[in-house]
Amino acid sequence: MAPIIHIQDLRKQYDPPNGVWAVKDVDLDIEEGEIFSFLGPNGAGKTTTISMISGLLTPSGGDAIIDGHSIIKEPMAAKEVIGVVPQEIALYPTLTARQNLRFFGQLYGLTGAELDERVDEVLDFIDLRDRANEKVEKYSGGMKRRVNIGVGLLHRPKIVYMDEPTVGVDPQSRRRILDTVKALNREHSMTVLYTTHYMEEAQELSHRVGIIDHGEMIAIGAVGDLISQIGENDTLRLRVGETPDKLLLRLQEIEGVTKVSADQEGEITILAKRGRRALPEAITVADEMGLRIESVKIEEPDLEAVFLHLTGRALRE
Amino acid sequence: MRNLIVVTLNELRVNFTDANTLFFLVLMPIILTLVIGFGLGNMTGGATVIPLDVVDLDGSELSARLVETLRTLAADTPLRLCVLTDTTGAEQPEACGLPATTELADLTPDELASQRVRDNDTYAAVIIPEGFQAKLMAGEDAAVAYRANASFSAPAIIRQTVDAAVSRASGSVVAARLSVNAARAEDAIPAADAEAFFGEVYQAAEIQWEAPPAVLKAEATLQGEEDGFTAAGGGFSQSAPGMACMFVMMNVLGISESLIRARQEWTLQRLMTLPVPRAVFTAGKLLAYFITGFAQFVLLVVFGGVLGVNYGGNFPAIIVLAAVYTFTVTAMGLAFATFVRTMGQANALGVLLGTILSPLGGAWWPLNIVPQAMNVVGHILSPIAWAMDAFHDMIYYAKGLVDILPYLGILLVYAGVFFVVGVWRFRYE
Repeated sequence: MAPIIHIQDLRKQYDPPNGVWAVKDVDLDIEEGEIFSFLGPNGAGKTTTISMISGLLTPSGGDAIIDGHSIIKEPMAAKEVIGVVPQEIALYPTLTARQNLRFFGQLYGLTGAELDERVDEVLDFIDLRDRANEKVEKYSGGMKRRVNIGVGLLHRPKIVYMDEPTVGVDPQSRRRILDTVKALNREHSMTVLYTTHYMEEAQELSHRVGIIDHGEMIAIGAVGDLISQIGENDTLRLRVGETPDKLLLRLQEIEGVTKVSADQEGEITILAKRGRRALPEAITVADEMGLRIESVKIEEPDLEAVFLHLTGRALRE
Repeated sequence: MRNLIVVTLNELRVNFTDANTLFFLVLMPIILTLVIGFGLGNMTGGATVIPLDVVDLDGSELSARLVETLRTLAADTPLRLCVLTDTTGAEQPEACGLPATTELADLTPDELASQRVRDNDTYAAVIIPEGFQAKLMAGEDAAVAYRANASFSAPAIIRQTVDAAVSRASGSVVAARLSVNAARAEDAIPAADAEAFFGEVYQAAEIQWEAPPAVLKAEATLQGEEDGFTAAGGGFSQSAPGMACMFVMMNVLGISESLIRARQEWTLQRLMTLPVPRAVFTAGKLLAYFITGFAQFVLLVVFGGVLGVNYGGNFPAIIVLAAVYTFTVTAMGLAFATFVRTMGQANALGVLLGTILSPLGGAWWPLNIVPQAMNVVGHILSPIAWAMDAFHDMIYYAKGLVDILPYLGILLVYAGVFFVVGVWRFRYE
């Protein structure tokens, strides 16, 4: 069976001919009913990719076939099968949730009783029916996010693109959004293309994950398959006050250590085979350099470790 | 088409959920129409009253006739004569605002006239000097003084009326002199009767002036001339169309702010992911602003009508003018939107353009009172100038739709240029 999303050589250059290539020749197939996550740091090209396949940006090259429709040759047909949940709260703040939903629903071609029914259905789904007639500007951040998601579901699309839908929300709202994504996939058989820079979200939600960095797809696979690429490596996280280059070099020399990186908040991430064995020596090195270790954490291999393994950098650097 | 209507109605709804919208759309222009209308002196939309002081220091028969001529000519204008030397008890117009007699004791009428001109209590004063009649009878020249405050713009009609009265008096004197000279040369009258004969001929000449043999015939007449000088007095006839043009422009230029807000709020981006052609979103937004601007324009023009502005019953012409003008400024708003990047820029530039192009285009005062160069600049830079020209033709010369077509054509040329620039420069991404 043909994939519901087929992306081929998709690329985007801003401000051509000398501008930066935000996306470089991305190839990807996503099967119907799949939750696929784009994982990558900010600026990796996730939003640009999703913007191109949702019709917001014109690709500089390549194409994407969405449920059999080319985004270049049949953009309207391609748009009909997708629902888009942008990263920003794309709503009219001075209108109520119901007014917002009705407006976008009308533009999806819904009218009359069908429109009313879908709006109520979505309001129930995002659990905001009792507050549907309040202006969006009076909602909390999490409530706005839920309406933002609801707009993308009005026309019962086959595919939903969700671009970092949990950015800036409280943990409770985040949990609710993740459950919503699972429910959409499970109960409505929707294919979900989800972008995030939160490794935990990608790991929890996805059947498969595509890791993207500097506009290039550097790995694609099921979470377990990707993690197995790094073998028995553990991730050690050391929080120190400062992270001089000399310290990172010394840590890199410890037996079993494969990658070392540091973020701006003073956290050092070490990828090491049998990480527990490398830990005492890492502490000794820090001691010798007069650095006080504030905390130590040993983690099982995860997607963060995969990203570190592939790029030499932490996801949130 | 359905999508266009949906987008347009939504845009209207979004715009009108803001409580400030009605204030800027309706209340503020109405307030300014009233303030500027009153400021220009047209309290009711009827006759404007312009006081003119007259001081007759000669007190002669000829000087009295000159005053009477002035009064006759002024009768067809908003001028009201305030004869400061009138001791006959004749009723002075209330508009003269003359002080009580007791306050006059310290000032001669000549001094009082000068003071009133200085204090802007009157627009100008005409002083007929002592010996006026004697000099004329003796065949000498006699000057009538005209005083006006240089820093206070006296309406041209005062000077024109005084000129006309003095010219008429001069003409009558010349006729009388020539008649006396001719009669004396042929000994037709004795020398003792010369003065009386002078007076008879003078009077006969004055009668002839009432139906002059050569007249200026205006092909288009001022409206409401049966009431005298009606709409041409300025006031609401100036402020109602002027404020309509200005506020419609300022309101419709808000389209650039609206487009930037749509990008910032990401509604434009979301709309672009829907299965609807992109042009529908900008067209819907433009249409919403066009509808709002058109309604605002018609409302303010109708409000002018309520205040007494006489548009000559040219309702179709007003509707077409409103549509063409609003279309022009809508296209201008689109073009303008492509040059700004932030809400602050859009807001500031909108106010700046509105407050520069409005006076330049004659929205605050008629362009015929500004220097010719500014008049030309106004007509080059501001579409308002052409809309106001059309209004002036309708209000002052009772012209109709066909007559204002040239102005509408020029406005459409502006619209075309702005539209091409806007479409060429507008970027969705």
